[in-house]
Amino acid sequence: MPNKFLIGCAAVALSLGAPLAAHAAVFEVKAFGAKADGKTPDRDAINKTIDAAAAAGGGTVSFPAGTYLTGAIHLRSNVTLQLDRGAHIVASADTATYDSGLSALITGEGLENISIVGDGLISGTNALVRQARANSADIERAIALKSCRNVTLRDFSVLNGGHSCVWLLGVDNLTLDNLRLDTNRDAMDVDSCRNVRISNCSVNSPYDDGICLKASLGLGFPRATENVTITNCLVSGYDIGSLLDATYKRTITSVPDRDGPTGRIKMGTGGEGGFKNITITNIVFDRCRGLALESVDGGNLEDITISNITMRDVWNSPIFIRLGSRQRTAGGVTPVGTARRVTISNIVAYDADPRYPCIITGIPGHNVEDIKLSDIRILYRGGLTMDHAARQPAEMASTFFASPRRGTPVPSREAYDVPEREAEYPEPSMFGVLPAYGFFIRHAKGIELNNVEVGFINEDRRPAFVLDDVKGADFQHVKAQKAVGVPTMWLKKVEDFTARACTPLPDIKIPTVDRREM
Amino acid sequence: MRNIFLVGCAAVALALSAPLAAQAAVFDVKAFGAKADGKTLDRDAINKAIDAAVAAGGGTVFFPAGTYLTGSIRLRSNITLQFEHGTVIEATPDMTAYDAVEPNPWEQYDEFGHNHWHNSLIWGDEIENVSIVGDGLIIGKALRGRGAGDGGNKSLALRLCRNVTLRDFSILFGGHFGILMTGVDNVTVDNLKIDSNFDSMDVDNCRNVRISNCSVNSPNDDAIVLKAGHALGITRPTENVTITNVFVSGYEVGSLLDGTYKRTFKEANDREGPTGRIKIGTESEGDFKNITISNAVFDHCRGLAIESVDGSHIEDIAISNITMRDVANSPIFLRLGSRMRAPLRTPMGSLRRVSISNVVVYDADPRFASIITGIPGHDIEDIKLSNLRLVYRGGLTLDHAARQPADMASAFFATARRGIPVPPREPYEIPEQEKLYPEPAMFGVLPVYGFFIRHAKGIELNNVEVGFMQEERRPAFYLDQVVGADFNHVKAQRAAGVPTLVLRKVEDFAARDCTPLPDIKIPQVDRREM
Repeated sequence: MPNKFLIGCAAVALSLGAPLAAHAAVFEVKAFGAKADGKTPDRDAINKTIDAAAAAGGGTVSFPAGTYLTGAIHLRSNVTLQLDRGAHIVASADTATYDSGLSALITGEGLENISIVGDGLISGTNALVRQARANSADIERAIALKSCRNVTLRDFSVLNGGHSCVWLLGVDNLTLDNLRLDTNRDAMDVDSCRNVRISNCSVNSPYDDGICLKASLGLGFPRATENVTITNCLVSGYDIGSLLDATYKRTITSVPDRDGPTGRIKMGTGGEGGFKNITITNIVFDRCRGLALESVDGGNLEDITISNITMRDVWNSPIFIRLGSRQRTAGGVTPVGTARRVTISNIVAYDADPRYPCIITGIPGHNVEDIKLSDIRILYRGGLTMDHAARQPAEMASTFFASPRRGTPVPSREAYDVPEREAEYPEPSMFGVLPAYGFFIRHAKGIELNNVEVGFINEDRRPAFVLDDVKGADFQHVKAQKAVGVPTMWLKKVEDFTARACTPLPDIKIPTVDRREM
Repeated sequence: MRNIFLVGCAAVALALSAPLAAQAAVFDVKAFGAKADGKTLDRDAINKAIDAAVAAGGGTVFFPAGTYLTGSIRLRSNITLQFEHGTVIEATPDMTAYDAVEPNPWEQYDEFGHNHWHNSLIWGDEIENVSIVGDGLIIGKALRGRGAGDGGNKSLALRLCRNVTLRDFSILFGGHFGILMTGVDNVTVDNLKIDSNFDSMDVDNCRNVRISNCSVNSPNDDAIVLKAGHALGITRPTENVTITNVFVSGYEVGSLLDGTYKRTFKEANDREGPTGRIKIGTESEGDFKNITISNAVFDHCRGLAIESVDGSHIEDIAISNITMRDVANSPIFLRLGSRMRAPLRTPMGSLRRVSISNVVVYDADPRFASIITGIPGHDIEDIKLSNLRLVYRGGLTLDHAARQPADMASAFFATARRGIPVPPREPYEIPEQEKLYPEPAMFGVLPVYGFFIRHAKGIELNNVEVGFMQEERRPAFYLDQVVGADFNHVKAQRAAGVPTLVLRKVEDFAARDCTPLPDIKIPQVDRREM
């Protein structure tokens, strides 16, 4: 509200003919020649305004209502972009108006004290692409910041932000608040960033991840994404644009990776630097994939607390924790990372894809460790049998993620012989149709389920739980719906298993077992 | 709306060449003579701009980019201070530029800084509807900080205000307090970064408070601290407070804002490790009620502390979804004591109905375990801990708890007279320290690594797991004079030959589905090790 006044005031002041003083409080882009008519390229006027604000030691660059057609906007230290209600930043389709470096509509590198705020809209619909073609000048991002600090992004919306709508690499002391992102691929990439607050965001990204923490080698060295808090957000996989227009269309059923709408919260895939000290709470997932925590590039994923989450219309595993050995950038030379000390509680998930239960799995010799799941109720769609897990029907098993060679059908198999796929890209569908409907836990140590309940909407004739190569599994007050004649649990090479007050399992302690059904 | 808008605009237009009209909506401090050159004292120009805004019935006082060297800025009702990126409010080293200390008949009950507001860089006293917003930076390096007398003491002090919003700005070196709010109601504190040398954010006798999205680095003292002291001369609670999505740490001062996050800070003024925690207390004459804390990350600092030592009734507190790494003392510290530094509150207080859940702690100091303790005759009551995993550094033995080695036991907190060594003792004979300043280190090296629970009633641990990084030869749990302890699905790592649990004078203990404890109900026991 105060800012609106300022912007309006500066505009009126100008229209009265007064020169803008060098120390002017607000730098209004129209005063620097922006036309805001949606046709004239406004890039240079905008960048001149930003330069003027920076030259004044910092300030607010205001965009009054209007449509600004523009190429690359270069942020500067100590400058706030203020997008007014009705201000519409439209990415130009002319690729010559962008930079060759950070391919983005709004860019900044090596800056400090920057903000983009206000109720405006940034649109990349006709210009920002979901994947740049090789050797092209295609522009892939709405906002790209690299090696910056003290950054606030607040209140604005982005429609069709390209490959990565808000792309943040090595950005420290970062606040993302009340953003609406409705986009064609990753909505929010927080890569190798430290001390991050994310709150009140609505993120729709059917074709890729919603809020995605990464710790890639993008900076040229591994750097942890750590000290991150995320709260009070929605992630979804509605049709693009239907978040912002509030129609919330549920027609997209398949995305380029041939699984369902994406739009989730994820840690990974790029994860060389690791993930530490991260809390997530009060999140709604709707019509998208589940929560994914992945360490496949040698980083350590540890000390994570997640609670108070609801999910409906879930397109793969509601919870997916994967320790793998893709080791993408290090050629497999670096040691396998870790995934440990994760606490997940107070979760309700309804209408989840039946093919992929919750998955917690390392690889042979490398366990996922110390996972505590409490107060969780998950209802799957159900309707499958062990025959599906054996046959891996073409319409159910991913030829993209689960087959030895992309595009070829997933071979049929003995239902419990789930391939390891140690070095493959991590995704719940990488294992094909699984032989459990509730939880598939493998290569894991110290797994605790307290007050966890799994069930199905249509009768499911697979066990609720499969535990394979697990040391220390503790089921307390776990309930599983079961069809007549179907076991609840299938154990293989399990040590130190305890079930207590579980339905329909007996109270039992099993020091070691090679194979058992219950 | 439209009319107000036009009036405001016209005023600004005029301001570019003429003195500001009285009815202007935005008041640019430069139009009132502020130089923002970092050399000229801009205090009077700023206060004139504020007075002009007030005369107009309220408005925004605007600080364009620049460095404003200033003494006391006096907030008034119905104004917003609006900073920009590049706006620096810098405390002048000229101590005469700060307003005089106001008299406070109650000042003997606390440190000087808690009891005086006017000698601050920015202060407001008995005002309403006030905001400080925008991405500027307040630098209080020249403030005197701790100590009595005139001269700049703290960055921002509010006394008896209501309807206050603080948002988006940063504070570097805040003086004695980055922010001190005493008796302030309806407060929103959002997206602040505070990187300060003593307490960063003190919320004292305040009601209805929202704190969110803040990053608070405060190696020498507490980061976000709720108090209910006697500075107003009345007993006033701190209640209806929510804190969420925040980060607290104890890095070197300045290294939060510059993004270097230096962990070289090892010892605070009290000779313990970096402070920087979330705390309820120490000043605890008034009550603390209806407080929620969630989604907080602690790094390189002390743990969560809840302390009633001056007669406060602390009750109905819910805390969840927290991670901590590199913890400098007890990850969880609940203390009911009888310091009784409170003129109006001589009976004992209470500490009850606290729920703490969904916490992951890694790399915690091994000396102090987590502590839940009242004093003889006054129990902490009805504490529920669920879904916790605490991993301590380990490496200690009962011999450490017996010898209280000088390099481990605090000669500051754990001795009757500061500076003298902590005497050796039988390891389970932990002094009560009833009246001492509450701090985990007050009990010296403890004989357990996981939880020390004493003078407590109705303690429930559900799905709690404790472990260590290096072999620990002390038990995991010590319960002393506890009535009603319910351990459900509790797990403790243990070294061979070391008991898991030591009970002394315990009634109504139940363990169920615990590892490595048997399922057991003990109606009463004088002493037992398991």
